[in-house]
Amino acid sequence: MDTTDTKSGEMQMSTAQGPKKSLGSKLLSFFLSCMPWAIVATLLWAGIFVKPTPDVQVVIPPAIEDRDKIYGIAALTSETLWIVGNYGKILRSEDAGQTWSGQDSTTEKHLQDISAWDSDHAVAVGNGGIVLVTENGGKTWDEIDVPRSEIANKLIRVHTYADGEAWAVGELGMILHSVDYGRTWTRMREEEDVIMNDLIKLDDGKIFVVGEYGRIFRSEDNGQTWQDDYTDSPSSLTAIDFRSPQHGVIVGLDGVILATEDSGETWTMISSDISGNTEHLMDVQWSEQINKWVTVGNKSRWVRFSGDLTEFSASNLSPIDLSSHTELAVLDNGVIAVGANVCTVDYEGNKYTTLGN
Amino acid sequence: MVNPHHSDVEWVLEGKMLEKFARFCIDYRKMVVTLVFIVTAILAVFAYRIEVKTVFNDLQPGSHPYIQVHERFKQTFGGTNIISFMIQSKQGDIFQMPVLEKIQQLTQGLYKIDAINEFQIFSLAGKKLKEVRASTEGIESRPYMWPNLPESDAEIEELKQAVLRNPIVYGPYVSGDLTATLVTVDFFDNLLDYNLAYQQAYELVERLEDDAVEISLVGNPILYGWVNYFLPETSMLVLVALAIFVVLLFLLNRTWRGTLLPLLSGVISAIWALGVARLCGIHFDPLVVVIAMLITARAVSHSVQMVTRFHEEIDNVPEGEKLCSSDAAVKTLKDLFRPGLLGIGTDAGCVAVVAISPIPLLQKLALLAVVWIATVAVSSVILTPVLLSWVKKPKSYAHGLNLDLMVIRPFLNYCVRIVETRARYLVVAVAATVFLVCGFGALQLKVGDANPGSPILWPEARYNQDSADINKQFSGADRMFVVVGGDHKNQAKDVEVLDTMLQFQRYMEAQKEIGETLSIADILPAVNMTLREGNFRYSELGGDSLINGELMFMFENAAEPGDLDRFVDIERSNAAVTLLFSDRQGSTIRTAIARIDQFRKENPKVEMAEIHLAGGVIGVIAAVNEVILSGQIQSIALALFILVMMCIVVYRSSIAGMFFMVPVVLSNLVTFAFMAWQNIGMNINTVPVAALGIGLGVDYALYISDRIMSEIKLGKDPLEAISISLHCAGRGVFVTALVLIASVCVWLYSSLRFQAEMGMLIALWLSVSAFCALFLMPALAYIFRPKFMFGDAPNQTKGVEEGGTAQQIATASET
Repeated sequence: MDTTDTKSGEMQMSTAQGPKKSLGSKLLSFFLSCMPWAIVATLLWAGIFVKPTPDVQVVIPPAIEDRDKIYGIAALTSETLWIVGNYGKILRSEDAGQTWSGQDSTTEKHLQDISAWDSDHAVAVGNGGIVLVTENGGKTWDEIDVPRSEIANKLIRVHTYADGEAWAVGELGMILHSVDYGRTWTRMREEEDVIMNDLIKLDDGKIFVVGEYGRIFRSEDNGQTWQDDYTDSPSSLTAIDFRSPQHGVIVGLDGVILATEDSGETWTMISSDISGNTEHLMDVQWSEQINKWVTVGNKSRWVRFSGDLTEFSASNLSPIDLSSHTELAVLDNGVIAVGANVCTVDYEGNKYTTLGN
Repeated sequence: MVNPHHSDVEWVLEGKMLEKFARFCIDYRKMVVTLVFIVTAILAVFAYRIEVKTVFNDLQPGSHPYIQVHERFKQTFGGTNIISFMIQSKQGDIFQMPVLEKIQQLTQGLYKIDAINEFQIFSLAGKKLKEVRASTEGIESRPYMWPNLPESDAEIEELKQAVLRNPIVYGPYVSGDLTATLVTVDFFDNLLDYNLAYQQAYELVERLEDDAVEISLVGNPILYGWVNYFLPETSMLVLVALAIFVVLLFLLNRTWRGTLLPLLSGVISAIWALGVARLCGIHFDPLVVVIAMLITARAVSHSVQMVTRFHEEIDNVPEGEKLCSSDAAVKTLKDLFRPGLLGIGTDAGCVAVVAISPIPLLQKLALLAVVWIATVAVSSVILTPVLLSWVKKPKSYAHGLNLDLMVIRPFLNYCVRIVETRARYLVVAVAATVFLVCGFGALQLKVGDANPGSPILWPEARYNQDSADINKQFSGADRMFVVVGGDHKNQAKDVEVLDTMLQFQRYMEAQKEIGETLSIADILPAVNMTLREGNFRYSELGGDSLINGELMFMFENAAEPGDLDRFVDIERSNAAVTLLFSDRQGSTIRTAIARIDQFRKENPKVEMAEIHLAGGVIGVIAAVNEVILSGQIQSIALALFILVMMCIVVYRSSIAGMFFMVPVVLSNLVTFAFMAWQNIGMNINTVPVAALGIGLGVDYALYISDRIMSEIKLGKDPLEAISISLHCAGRGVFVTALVLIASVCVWLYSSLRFQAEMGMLIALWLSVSAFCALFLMPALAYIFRPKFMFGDAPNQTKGVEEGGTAQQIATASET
């Protein structure tokens, strides 16, 4: 078979030049003579004009990037968590931080804190006096106009209370109050060059604000008038919490811990020799689960201490992690701390996990 | 068809001219030889003085915008010659006296290394790494342990805390688990001698390593130092390859002339090429030794063709007639001059295309290679037959082991058998399959390094081990910097610019191969936080340019002049963002560059401060890879174009161009597919080999085809012509391929992975070319009968019993 094939092929080739050409062989001959030049032209064209485009890997950034600073957290339950941070970052998790979904905050400003009334209503505050509220679980966030100072406006913390009440504090003695789920805000104290770091409103209506230079401001008339208390602490106070109407704790920079057993009439400073910590402490909360105060701060420090202020245990959240943290939330089986990273640790301090990366 | 074939008149005329030329060369053979040897002697003097070294600047495409940015800022923002030492504590963390002492000794030892830039030493024990802290007067900074080490445990603890506080140090210079620290040093590029730096750096390491610490080191000077370190081994391999080559050639050719003449051709063309290179001021990069082998292989194979043909001419002289070497030499030269020159021409043409690359190394290499290949025209094509004309006893052999009878002829008969039976279709089918499979495979070829670590060395080499160790502890030892701003003075203080830089850094860090990024925008939040009592909520940039200016001023005030130089220039106009890469793989770099572009597109703010790409080692590699990528198709297509055009012109047939493209395309596809399969990336080191290989496939095919054509002109029928061609030109192809492949395989044992891989590639190239010439091309020729080869004589196969004739010829040529 191959012999015949070859011969017929060769016949075509040889007759192509012959005097009697059929149309078919003319076309074939034309095609054959064009093809090489077509290839030559293609080569030249490719050589001059074709520039390959590089293939590029797709990079999906993690929900919480290494560089992210997460300043604030609100834990509705142990599962439902809301966190805010730099460049307007708002993330929400429904599975105790295993997965996070980003929310559109509409701002690039750093957000410092978030607090939620329920799973739909929440308020976030941050740099430049920004206040954001949502009524739909974070699907949309609205920026709210609030009273501002000419000089500095960073809002540092916000707390929500029943029936749509909220309090926010910040730079230049700022104390803001809202009763309509954060829609409108009133300034509750005149400007003063002191940074207000945290606030708490107790069930009996008493309000405490802690701030720079170890100062405490107290109001018993829902913020109409403020009593200015100086404490023994030279360092700024950063956070306050009460475990009962009588028993409260304030923490601050340089490891300051102040405690009261008389509803804030007097505050006792705990020496760092007893607490075992001199690092800045940034947040404190009472944990019903272990009946202890839990506080976190710079360089991964955390201190757990008993309600009667007798037992202190200070250590790092993890021996290998030295990130600073600004806030914490107590969950069923441990705490979650936010700051240079977001991490959970069980109450014994054995199981440490970073989240979102 | 356009000019489908030579007219017989042209053929005869051309033959006459060639004969005249050949006759002239042989008649004046003394003059020719004297001339060649005088030139050789002169050039040998120059060749002897050629510099063997790597010039890093030559690897950079100077016109590329990245390189321009790199050149402008490398002195302050970090060049390509940074060496990184990692001091790893064997037990516990580095904060213990024995380890701290080592860090100090190493840092002090650096000053004894020649050409280092003492303003670019970064070490815990150096002056440049400082801790910044608030004091009553604002802010102060002080070196960690310069000039003195801490003296007590308390001071060591204080040092540790100071390190932990500083994100510019904890992470980039001290590992996360505190067990290792990095000391980096840059060089003055113009003073740097790689060998010296390599030697001095390792001496320092050897002196300091003990039970307490382990020291790893990486960096370009070290890498190229290693290449030079293996230079004696490389020379050794060249000698071994040469020995194998001589022995095999002697065995196969059975004559001293058949052994030494090819060798002489190789040597002469090497001397000429290197001599001319020296005259042009081109140095010899040790990494291109393989290329030298590749070209020498061309010289040798042309010469072997000459010798083989000469023997055939001698054998063709009928019994009883006087054996005249010079007549045989004239015939050889006359007949092989055209295919030889065409082979050389196409090789040189394809190689010349490499010169359009903007990379100086490739330009110089192209020049060197073109000269080298051109010299083959004299050293092999002319000189070999001229020297052969002196042979006194052309029929005598030096030893009795006749491999021709035992191996070569049976093999060549087998080749002929394939053409004459249906197996030829099988050969074409196999080739077509290989073509398709490898064509697909070749598409997977990667540009840039395909593996982490340096592809020049084996993964288990000390350098690559060190590199892996460092990348395990630190976010990356290889740097790229981009420059932000540059429009006006003090632009780097603008809050938008700083903010853009931070956003940019965040964006880039999402890629996992980018371990860390550093910029002035990282320092300011730390300064700000320090001023705000260390409150982490203030770890942010100042709210406006004024505050940022103040923060920068405070930092500068506390630091020494020049401390900020690696982040921002004196005018505060250009700021650097340094990105640390954990590997240099092509895909890593491409992705990073593509993401930078994407960032620029997505962030309108960027318009306030342009981001200029890119400096540092990675910036330079990125530029080189871009050049290679965009030139990849270009060089292959243009080389093929030149090849096709030369064949078209010489054979005056467009079909000829297509015909000779087959072996070239096939051998290249196979090689590229092999590279893709073996994860050998197209980088600055492999590109020259790949580029030089393009024209490589064709020589063998040219000799075979040209011989077929000559025999057809003499009135032989196709099968007879093919058989004769295979037994003469084919013998040359078989012998050279065998000898060269065997000697190239020596490279597989090289300590330089790059050389081993390139050796493998060249062996592959030669194999595929030989396969094409011996099996595929005859089969294609016989199946398609292209007119430029067979003319249009209608009686080609008339009355020929295919099998029978071929058999007769085969047996005839055996006797």
